[in-house]
Formats: sequence, structure tokens, C-alpha cells
Amino acid sequence: MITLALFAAALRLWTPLALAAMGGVVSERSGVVNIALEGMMLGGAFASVAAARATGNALVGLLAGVVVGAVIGFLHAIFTQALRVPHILSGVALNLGVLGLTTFALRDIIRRGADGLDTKVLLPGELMGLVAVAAVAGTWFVLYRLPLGLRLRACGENAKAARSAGLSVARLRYGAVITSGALAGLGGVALALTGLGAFTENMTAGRGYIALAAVIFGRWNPLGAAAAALLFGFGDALQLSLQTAGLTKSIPPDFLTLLPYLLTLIALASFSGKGNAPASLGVEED
Amino acid sequence: MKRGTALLETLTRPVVALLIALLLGGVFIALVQGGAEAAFKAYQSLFVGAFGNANAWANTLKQMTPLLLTGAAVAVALAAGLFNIGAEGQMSVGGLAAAVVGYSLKGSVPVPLLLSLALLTGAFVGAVWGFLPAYLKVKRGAHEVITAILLNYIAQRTTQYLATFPLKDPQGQSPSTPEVGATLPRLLPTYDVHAGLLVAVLVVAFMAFALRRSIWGYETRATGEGAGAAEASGIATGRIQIFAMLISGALAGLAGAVVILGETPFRRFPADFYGVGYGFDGLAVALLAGGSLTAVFPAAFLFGALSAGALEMEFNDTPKQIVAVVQAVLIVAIAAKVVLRRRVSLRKPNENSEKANGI
Repeated sequence: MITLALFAAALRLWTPLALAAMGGVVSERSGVVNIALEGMMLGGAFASVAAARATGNALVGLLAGVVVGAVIGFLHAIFTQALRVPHILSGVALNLGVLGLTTFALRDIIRRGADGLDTKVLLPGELMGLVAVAAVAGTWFVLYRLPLGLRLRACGENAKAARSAGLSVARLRYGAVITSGALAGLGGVALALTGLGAFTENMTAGRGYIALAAVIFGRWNPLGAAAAALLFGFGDALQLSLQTAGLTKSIPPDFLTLLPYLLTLIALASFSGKGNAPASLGVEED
Repeated sequence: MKRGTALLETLTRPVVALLIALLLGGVFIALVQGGAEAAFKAYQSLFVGAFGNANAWANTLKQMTPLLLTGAAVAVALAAGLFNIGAEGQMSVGGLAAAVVGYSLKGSVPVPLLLSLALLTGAFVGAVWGFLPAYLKVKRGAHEVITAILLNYIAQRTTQYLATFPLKDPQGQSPSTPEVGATLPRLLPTYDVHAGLLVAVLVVAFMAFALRRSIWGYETRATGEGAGAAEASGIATGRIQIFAMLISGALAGLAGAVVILGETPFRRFPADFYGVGYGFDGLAVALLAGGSLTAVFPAAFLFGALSAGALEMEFNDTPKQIVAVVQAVLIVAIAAKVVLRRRVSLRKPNENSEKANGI
């Protein structure tokens, strides 16, 4: 069963997860809980297909996905930092809002007579895979080898101390969450513009949450998160190859599609705990 | 006087939040569908669908019924400091369980017994589904929001599979279970309000009383306000949180059972039941109610009206998903602290800061 094709499929499925997971690492290391990854991916996916369809240029689609992801990140930063909305609530609201808005827009497009939202121009999967590898390496490099990374991690570990040391915690967090949105939006682009080139309702289907689970599973370290994402990518690939291998006669597809979620749940149940979480993560200060 | 201003303050926030949410929702409709006229028309049909005539009122009450239960479900968990985003999943497994009891006992037991057993089983199975994230949180430190979301997907796929294959009605056209043996009676002939409304009102009123007056309620609220302090005063916070999620899951499961046994298009559990939405709407209901079970009543009524109106709106060419956008804005507007902070700046700053224990 472990064939080259399976490995290739796992890498293809890894790409969006890894990009979103890097977004999760950047945001959470700065101290902002980010379950909005799901909405950022979904918004990025929608924008990329819509822009690529309108302009006929896949790179414009890519750019649009990144920008929309970053805008959602900006909103998450405003809500959590300026309006002091609890991080989880802000994430829930953004995910709900983006799902509502994209579904609303898609149905409105269909109502006007189009078949759906799709595009002929696509991005090569290999390219996005390389982008994801670069994102992992880049995140690691910035976090552990640049002064910026040290400052960012300081915000996540002890915001008060970072502030007394003269850092602008708010500004760093704004930057981190916007970057996080751009990365997760890129993950949405990888999902939408490398495969069928179509946007469907709720097409991320929980991948943002799985990416966040990979962050936790990988102990908030970019390399660990990337490795965890690969594990989930394999789960997904295995599930798909079982489906196409005709095993669906003995195992129904519904059961196979729940495999990645079950795997993630088991991973979380076995390896959670607050051990390595950034100490100031999600803590609200006065 | 002081109590008066406090009441005004608690009322101002949800009302202002709702106005902002409706306004922004209107802006989005105008942006996507072209012009303020479309937004105006959409909201007009929303209102007509919710309150336009006796039938619309009946629809509002019908939609309110499960929202009372899911709203209370989320509010009970919130009282204990947990965010139950899994209500939709708990509701779907509860609904399936009720359907299975409802059709297996068809004709073999008296109707009241059949209905009670189906409702109780739905609540029980929902409680089991709610237990899992609570257990994983208390014992393994996994955040309940992530695990509950994953359990939602698992509930979706599992109920879909069960209703499509082993439990499918062999005579049925579309994948769904066989029809249940009895349904909850309608409260008024020709209108869709059913006895589930009474069940929901009684259960939620009882829970509201228990949360406010009983020792259990006190310990639950103390845990929610600060697990550290509650622990120090001798409350077994872990056990309290697990119990709160059991209750929460039971209420959500009961909501599923009530929908299957009461709402007119149902009576059988369809494979695509998950995503019917009452569970997710329960989040917004509970937040609008500020976590208070008493306030769940007006909040559920409002959301019942919104969903009844949304159907009419969709009929008039505005996709009903815009209501999700309104809900999202509502959540942020209610949870935002900045406006209130300025208005009460003379008081002592609020010391008990919430901690969203690290994901």
C-alpha cells in the first residue's frame, strides 16, 4: 500500500496543512490563539479562485488569496488586541462569518446562472509544495535565528516582561497575526488552485483546525508542526487511496473520510498538555 | 437606581450589538447583490417571514424550540468555563438515537412511553458525545474547542454512514432511517408549533433554577468564574466541568430528538441531518444571552425569528447564509470589551481577567 503515488499524494495534501500550520505557529508564538486559521484558509481559497477566474492569471489568484488571508488576520488582531475579544470567540466568529459570506456569495453566483465558481488557470502543485517547504524553513529561521523571532517569542512567553523591556507587544502581535493570515490564506490557495480549480461550499472542511492540531502536536515548533502535518497528510492520502483502490465495497467512504479527524483526535488525546505552550498564549491582560 | 442602570447596561449591549450586526449584514447584502435596495428588500422579507402573519409566528416558535435547548446547552458549559462548540455533533447523534428508538418501538409500546424513551435516549447519547471533549480536557489537557470540532466531523460522517447503510429504510427513496412510530403532537392544528416547545421551556426553566439556586449551580458558576479560586475553596473543578459537559451534551442531544420527533419535514433521521444548524446557532444564542440561562429565552426567540425570516428571505433570492454573517458580527460586538470599559471607567478595573487556557 505504501507506494510512491501514496507518498506523492501525502505531499500534495501536506502543502495546505503545512502552510496554515506555519501561520498557526507564528500567531501562537506571539501569544495569540488562532483557530481562525480555518476561516483564513477558506477566505484565501475563495478569493484565489474568484480572482484567477476574473483575470485569467493564476498568480493574481495567489496574490488575492494571500491578501484576503492577511485581511482576516488583521481583523483577528483588531478583535483580540484592540477590542479584547477572547481569542477563541474571535476565531469562532471569523470562521462563521467567512463561511457565511463565501457560501452566500457562491450561492448568489449560482443563482445568477453560473454552474459554480471555477477557473481554468491553475498553479503547479510542485511549486506550491516548494513554497510550503520554504515557508517552514523561513518560519524556523525567523523564529530562532533573527532578533525579530526572539522578540516575537518573548511576547508569547511573557508579554509583561517583553513590554517592560521596551518591546511594542501590540505591534509585534499585529504583525504576527497578519502574517499568520497571509500564510493560512496561501494554504487556501494551495488547496483551491492546484487541484480541481474550483471553489465549493466549506471546501476547507476543517483543515484549519487540523493544521492547528498539528501546531499543538508539533509543540509550537515549525519543524515539529510540519512533521505533524505530514502525518495528517498521510492519513488523508491513505484514506483517499483506499477509496480509489475499490475498498469502498467493504469499508464505506464515510468511514474513510473520518479517518483524518479521528487520527487528529487521537494525536491530541495522547500528546496534549500545556507543557510547551507559550506561557502568555491567550492570556488576557488589563 | 443602581439596579436600574445595571439593567439598562446589560440590555444596551445586546441591543447595540444586534443593530451593528444587522447593519453590517445589510452592507454585505448590498455589496454582493448590488445596492441598498436589495438589502432593504431582504430585511423586509426577513421581518415578514418572522412576524408577518400567524403562520410566520408559528414558524418563529418552531425554530425557537431547538434553539432554546442548544442555547441552554452552550450556556451551561459556559457557566462552568467551557466553550461547547460541539453542540451540532451532540445534537445529530442525539437525533439519530431518538429516531432509532422511535422506529424500533413502533407499535409495541404506548405512544407517551415511546416518545419519552426516544427523548431520553437522545439526551443520553448527546451526553456521551459531550463527555468526550470534557474528559480529554480535564484528564489529558486537550483543548475542548479543538476536540469538539473534530468530534463534530466524526459525528457527521458516522451518522451519515449509519443512516445511509445499516439503518436505512429499505423502502425509502432518499437515505434516511424508517419513520418513527409517533410524533410530538402539534400545539395548534394546522400550525407547526409542537409539544417540543413545552418540553424545551420546562427543561430550560428547570436548569436555570438549578444553576442559580442549587449547590451544584453554585459550584459550577464558581468554577466558571475562576477554576483556581474554586479549586482552592475545595470544589472538584474537574468533576464539575465534566458534569457540566454531560448536561450540555444531554441538552443538545435532546434538541436533536425534539427536532426529529416534532418538526414536520423530519420524523425520520436523514443522512444529511448534521448541519441543520441549530447546534451552531446555539453558540450565538448563549453568547447573546451573556451565558445566563434565563436570558436564553429572549435570545432563542430572537434567533428563532431570524431563522424563520431567513427562509422567507431565501425564497426572495437572498441566500440565507447572510444570517451566519450577522451572527458572527454579533459575537464580536457582544464580546468586545472596549466600549463598556470606557463607560464604567470610574469603577475599579475588572481584576478577574479571563484566561483562555493555552491551546
